[in-house]
Amino acid sequence: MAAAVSGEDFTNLQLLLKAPSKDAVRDVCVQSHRAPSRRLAETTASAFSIPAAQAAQLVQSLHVLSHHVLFYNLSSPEQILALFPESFHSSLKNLITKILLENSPTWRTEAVSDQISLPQLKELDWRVDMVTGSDSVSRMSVPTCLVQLKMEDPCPSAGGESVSTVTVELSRESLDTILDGLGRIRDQLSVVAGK
Amino acid sequence: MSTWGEHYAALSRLAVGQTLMVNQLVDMEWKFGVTVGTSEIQKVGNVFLQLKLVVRKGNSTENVYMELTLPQFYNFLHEMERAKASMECFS
Repeated sequence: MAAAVSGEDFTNLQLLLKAPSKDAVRDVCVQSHRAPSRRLAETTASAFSIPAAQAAQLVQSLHVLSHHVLFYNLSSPEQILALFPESFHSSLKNLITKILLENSPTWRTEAVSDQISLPQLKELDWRVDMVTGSDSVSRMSVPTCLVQLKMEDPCPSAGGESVSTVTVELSRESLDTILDGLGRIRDQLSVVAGK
Repeated sequence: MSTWGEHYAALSRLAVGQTLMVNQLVDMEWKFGVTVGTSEIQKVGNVFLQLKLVVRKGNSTENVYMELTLPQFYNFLHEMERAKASMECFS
């Protein structure tokens, strides 16, 4: 969730001035976006030689800032620079803005693929069989189609399986009906795309 | 004999129709739309398609829900057309 960026967050961000290098700043920005974990706070505390409590606040504030930029899709330097208070250290402000702009496209793509969803269709395989006999008719020649759908749940509930497989059997009539339905979807989609 | 002749075709169809089918697909419903925003991104704009397949399992039915992106949908349509073409080879 995107919380608003507060004055206190910007105060915490000035702790980045204690970073040993620009790469260290970049690393902590990227890692805090994913998850402002305690482990990250600890490694940051030792890398920057600051108390663990301050490192934890820094990591949390970076997380708030990067998610704010992602949520509102702030894609120009001016938009991001405008977030910072007047008194903020100028070169640090420019460095943070540059890092946020560099990573935004990746973060956006990840957010879109991670968004909540019904299980996603990942793979589709089929085979067509000729049924030549059964317990009701000794000789027959009826085609039938088996379709296997593999689905992946992008956010499985705790303890739940993320990949599930369903195999369905279709008669010729069912397959025709499905194709009819899919054709109608395609027509409706092209109407929407045309708008 | 003539009664048998009249009804043979219908009876055969009934017998064939009673042939075991595993996880028979009995219905398909769909909806599609545009994702407007998420908790992570205020404005999104991608198309989604949701399918519900109703599958007969024994005496009851089970609903299977899934979501497809547009490329996955076109792939699904393409594969089903190929399956149909394969079935038609037999007739």
